[in-house]
Amino acid sequence: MYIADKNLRNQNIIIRDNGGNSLTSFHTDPLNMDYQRFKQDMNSGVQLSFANNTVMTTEQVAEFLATLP
Amino acid sequence: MSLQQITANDILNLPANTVSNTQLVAGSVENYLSSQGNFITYRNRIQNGEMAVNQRATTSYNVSLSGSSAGSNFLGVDRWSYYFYNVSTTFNAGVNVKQTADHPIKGSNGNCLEIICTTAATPANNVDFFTMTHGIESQNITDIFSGSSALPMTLSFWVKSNKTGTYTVELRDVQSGAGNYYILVTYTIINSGVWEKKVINIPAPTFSSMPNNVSQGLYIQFSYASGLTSTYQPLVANSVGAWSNAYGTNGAAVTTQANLFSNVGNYHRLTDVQLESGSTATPFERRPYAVELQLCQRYLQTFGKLGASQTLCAGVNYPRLGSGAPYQNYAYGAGTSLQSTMRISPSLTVTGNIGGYTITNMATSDGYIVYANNFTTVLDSSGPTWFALRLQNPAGQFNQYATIHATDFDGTGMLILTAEI
Repeated sequence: MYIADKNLRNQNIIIRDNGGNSLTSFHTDPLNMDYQRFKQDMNSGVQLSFANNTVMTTEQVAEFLATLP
Repeated sequence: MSLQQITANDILNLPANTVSNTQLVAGSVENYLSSQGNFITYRNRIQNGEMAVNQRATTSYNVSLSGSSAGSNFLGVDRWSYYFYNVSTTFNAGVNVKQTADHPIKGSNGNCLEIICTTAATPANNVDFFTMTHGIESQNITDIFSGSSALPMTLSFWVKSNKTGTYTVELRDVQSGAGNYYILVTYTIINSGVWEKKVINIPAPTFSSMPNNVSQGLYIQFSYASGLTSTYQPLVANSVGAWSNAYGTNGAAVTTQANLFSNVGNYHRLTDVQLESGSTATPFERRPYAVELQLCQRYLQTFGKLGASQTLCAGVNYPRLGSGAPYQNYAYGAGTSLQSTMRISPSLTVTGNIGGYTITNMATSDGYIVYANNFTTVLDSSGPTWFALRLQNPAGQFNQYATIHATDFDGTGMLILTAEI
């Protein structure tokens, strides 16, 4: 499960809940393997939420992804 | 023998006192190795090939293929990740991956990467495999992958397994454009439970002009199981021992690949992995631990695991994570320098009970305000030489600048910065 969040300067940060008391957060950098995995997971239909934990609809996910590198 | 007759291997294996200083012109050994595209040190393009560095301090982890169509991750020994496909959903192997104290030369004072079958399964035709992968940064192999002047390579390593048979190693140039040039090479484990050294020559990748950047350039993939009689078979067969850009997916293996997961308890141990230029396997380049650690820290750094039962408010035993600024009364940003420059701006993984912090509040007389276990800790921002945490508390308790110390209540907490490749 992923959360689309912002850092304190309003830049995109993606948070992945790994389960078992473990969170991974990362930039939307094409060279970052976590980001590469995020994009693959989005293609596989893994859930993405807003920062307030509201789950995005399919259309909202597509709209959000279109803003990313 | 004349200098023209000796090989790099001869030089590095010269018995003691067989060649006096007067018989070798100063610099001749260095010049000879250099002419072969090799060097006395830093010959090995593999990092942590000796499986010694394990910054996560993970002695063992389990991978269950059941319920997942694919997976990959770095969880244990630095620079080595597992990678599998279970597209069939029937390749439900259980795998234990660990750093094991067993080494062909050092015995129990050395390490290897061990794969153990905990649940037996058979990979389905075409679509299933399990591998361990090591990625190499492009800029570290531009001299080898240099177009028409490309150099041949030699891959050497030690293996020990109770599952004898043929195994595959795949090298793939991921910068070579559509199709990605790759080569499949094989080795055979002849005797059960005995360390065996394998040496494999790789032809020069003359097709490639590796870019000088921080992206992944080449990966090396050791296969432990792969579906047989697959539709890849003709392509795989054609590519064995020669570079090919014919279509073949990641994890491809030869059709005679052994299945390590045929029986519970099967194991495979791997160490002293070396990839070097030239057609001769020189002895494994044993770098000091501190050097190997620093090479690995370009891709992974950790903070934490301070030991069990740390006491709050002591204020001296906790690693200082830097000064923080409050943000709208619900979050702190805290910047910290990394131990060395990483490949790219790292990701942050927070594990265990690191969620407690000691906040030194400069505005109060007692100096400390303690919030325990009530933060969500995520990455605020990072660069190759620094990172900043965002400590977030929905209750809104922050209004002062502060110095922040991580606390680790039970010895499990860890901040892991990754720029893996």
